[in-house]
Amino acid sequence: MIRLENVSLVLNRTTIIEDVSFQVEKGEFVFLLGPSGAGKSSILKLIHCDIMPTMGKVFVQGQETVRIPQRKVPFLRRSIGFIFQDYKLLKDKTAFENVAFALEVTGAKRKIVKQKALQALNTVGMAHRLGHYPADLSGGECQRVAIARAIVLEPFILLADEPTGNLDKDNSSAILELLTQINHSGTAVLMATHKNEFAGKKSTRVINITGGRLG
Amino acid sequence: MIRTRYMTLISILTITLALIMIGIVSLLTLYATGIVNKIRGSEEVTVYLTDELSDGDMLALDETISSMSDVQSTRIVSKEDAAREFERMFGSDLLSSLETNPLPRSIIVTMAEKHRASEDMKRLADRLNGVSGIESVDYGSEWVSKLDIFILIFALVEAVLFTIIVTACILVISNTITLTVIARKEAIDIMKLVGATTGFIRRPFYYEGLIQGLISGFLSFALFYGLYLWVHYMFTDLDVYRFMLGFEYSGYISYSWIVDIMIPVGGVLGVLGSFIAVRRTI
Repeated sequence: MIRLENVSLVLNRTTIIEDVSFQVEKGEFVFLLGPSGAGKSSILKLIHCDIMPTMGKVFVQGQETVRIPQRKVPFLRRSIGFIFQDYKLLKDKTAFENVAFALEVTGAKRKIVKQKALQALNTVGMAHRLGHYPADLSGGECQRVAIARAIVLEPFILLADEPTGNLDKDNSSAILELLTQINHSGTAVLMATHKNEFAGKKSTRVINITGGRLG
Repeated sequence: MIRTRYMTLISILTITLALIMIGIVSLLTLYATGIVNKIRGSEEVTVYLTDELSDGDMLALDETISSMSDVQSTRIVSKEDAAREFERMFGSDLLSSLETNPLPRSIIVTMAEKHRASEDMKRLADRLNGVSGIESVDYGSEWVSKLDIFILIFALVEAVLFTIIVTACILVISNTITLTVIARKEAIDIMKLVGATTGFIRRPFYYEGLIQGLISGFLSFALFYGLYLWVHYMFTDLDVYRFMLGFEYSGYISYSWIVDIMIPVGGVLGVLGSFIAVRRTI
């Protein structure tokens, strides 16, 4: 499903990651564990086709990312959910509109948009707050809405870049529980984090990365 | 957001003024061309008579000219007729202040149908010039060639001005759209995140450029038409104004296409400007 083969990334003469190889299988929950600046976010961006590797190969669903034509990248991204530490919600749209937006860009019919957006918000436990704007929501609630947006298109994998970075312990646990729940429904999860307490969690795998190298 | 709206307003006003300028220059060129064509197509030669020529000799001269093979007909214009014509064209105040009527008598010669080229008129003028009792012969065409050069220069200047103004309009809109794209960077990044195609992201900005251009076109259309009607209202009593137009006043813009194309031209400029901005930034 996701495979990195001897991937190195150099940006502005700085080596961000070096000779990284790993894979994520269907339905797996994998933690990418490492301190800040280890290269975790860059790996997620490589999978999301935001950047291309300097050396090595990145495969997503069997396709090598450098060979994917630029015009087809948006369609690949629709099958990859992505959530961030800072949620990245549109401030001038309600929770419902933020989730629906992900469906609207695909040209889905209004009825389907409404149905799936409500379903996704329900999954994350935010159906009762669908008319609220991000400014009216707590950090945990914003992240839930971001997760709803990420899963509304039923991606095969969910990339999470420090999703609990701005949350307290209780909210972090709740978000982790939600991601586990999503994983159990069949979606693979690759979560970048610096929090050691997540390692060792049952039914998950940990990939350690430090200074751009695995191990 | 407020800054972006302000820039959009400035952009619309700038394009509006630019389109009005293009309209004025185009109209002046067309009027100048119309006047030249009218003169070029004139079938009349005016023979101005000296004050010393007696009425009897004037009648004899008129008969001689009208019997020429290249002349269709003649018409005598007395000093009084000339004064009335002058007052009708330029207003009565000018002549009434003079003690005597300075306008000469003249014979208006209408050329025969097969002899209306400028060379035929020149030939007749050459025959009549120097005849006793004739002050001068005017057939207009002698200075048409000078006007042709003037028109050519005018058209070239207009083409250069047009290119400069159009380029400036496109750059203004492009700049405004670029600022709008920058202001919406966050939203654009999220669109890319969720898998929006480049076309989906770009399309609203094309529409924005188009709308800016159409609004500018409509404003310039309204202002230009209003300006034109005002000029007609102020000067329509003067026949000289109607003469300079080269055709009958009908109450409508004679070269209406200049005004008709302002809205679509504005729209095209808007789309071009946004196209350049969007291709550069998204």
